[in-house]
Amino acid sequence: MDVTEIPFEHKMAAHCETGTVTALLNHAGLEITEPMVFGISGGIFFGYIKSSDLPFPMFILRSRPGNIRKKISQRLGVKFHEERFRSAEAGEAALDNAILNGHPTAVQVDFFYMDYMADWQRVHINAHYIIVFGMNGGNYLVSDSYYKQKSMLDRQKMLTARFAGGMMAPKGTLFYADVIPDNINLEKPIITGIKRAAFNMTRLPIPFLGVKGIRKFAEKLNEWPAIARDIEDLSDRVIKINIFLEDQGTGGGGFRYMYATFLQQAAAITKDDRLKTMSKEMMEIGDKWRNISYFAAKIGKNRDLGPERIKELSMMVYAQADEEQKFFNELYKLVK
Amino acid sequence: MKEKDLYIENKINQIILYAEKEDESYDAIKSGSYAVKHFLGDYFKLKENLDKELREELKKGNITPVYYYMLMQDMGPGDLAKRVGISKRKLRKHFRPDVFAKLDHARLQKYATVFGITVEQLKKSIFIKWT
Repeated sequence: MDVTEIPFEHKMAAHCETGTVTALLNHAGLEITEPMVFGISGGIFFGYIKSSDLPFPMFILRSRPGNIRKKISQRLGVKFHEERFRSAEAGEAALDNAILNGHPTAVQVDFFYMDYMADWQRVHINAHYIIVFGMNGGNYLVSDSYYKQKSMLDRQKMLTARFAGGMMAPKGTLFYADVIPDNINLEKPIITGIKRAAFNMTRLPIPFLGVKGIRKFAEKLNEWPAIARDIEDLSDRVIKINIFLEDQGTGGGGFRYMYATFLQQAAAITKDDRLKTMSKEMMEIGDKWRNISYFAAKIGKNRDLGPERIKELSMMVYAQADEEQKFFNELYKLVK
Repeated sequence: MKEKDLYIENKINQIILYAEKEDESYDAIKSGSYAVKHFLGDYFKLKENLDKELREELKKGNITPVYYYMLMQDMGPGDLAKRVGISKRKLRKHFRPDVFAKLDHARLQKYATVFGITVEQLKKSIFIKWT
């Protein structure tokens, strides 16, 4: 049986894409933290999305999948070798080749087929990233930042997961760190990242993105009882607010805690104490998101989902929109 | 939030959260999940109820396994149609038992792959255990 294994340090991370990019950069010798990758890429965001691709309207808390890698590459000058494929055979051969050439390689997959996770955790979501660092007969050796240890994935499953169709189809996307420049200075990328994030949150002229998206979410929450199949379904959807904010790779408080951590690290690097103050404020905003998620989980569990309760939840979200508008406006002025 | 307030003791699954440490620095901590600790049982119950309800419909001939799995795996119709490579309109037809009964093996195979089951399971409605 053929065994290839690239020495690779497995580390859990809050989020799969930032975790994957961070792990690849660390492996290539660049010391950088997950929050730093998240912040520099301007990953923090909000959007309220309704589409027939989704079983129910949902909100997103971060930029488009793939964006984190792209922006990190632009802003730090690191180069990733990146490929997508039309044919599954070519995609499989390219992954095997990359492994044989000694590159731990990130692949985009449908999370549903990651069978080392528990059944109840596995959902169809095409924007999951894992790192493949070896092959062992009919299995790939993988490092998934959501899983406690290194694990294995069957070759056929991997192929299905990489070439799942549907929304945000992965199309076999793979990438590995190629060129890392010496002496990367983080100061300028940090400022660019903050500026972009603050801009996206407050100044996009689209009614369901950024702070406007938070308001849209607050407004539309009141319609949820009418679009849910029944009270059971509604209860499930409201509890999922908690899951989206806390569990689905956000680092807690809907990515806001991770962003606060980024701002604190950024303050130390740029020696700008104002960022430290902002970081504290962001932490508090995260706490308020966490209150929302606790509240949602509680009323969802108790089926306490009358119009007043939903209204109460909606008001909490509105307040959050005001807070974030103020915060990101201030942040924008600070780096302008 | 402070580490001690954020941390959840739970061994079922572990996630990474960012929290304020004793020395006021913010950093990653490994924690259990609040939702998993408090709501996993409810989630199973919910899935069980949905499963029961849908099987009843299936027995009565009101829906098809395609519809059953779409709901159980919480997929949007647009997404499922794209994964199988058909239009939404066509997918909706597959929610009708008379149309579903006439589907050829290749089509069923595509559905089965998406749902992570075998064609046999799909055809004979041999359901996997959800919890």
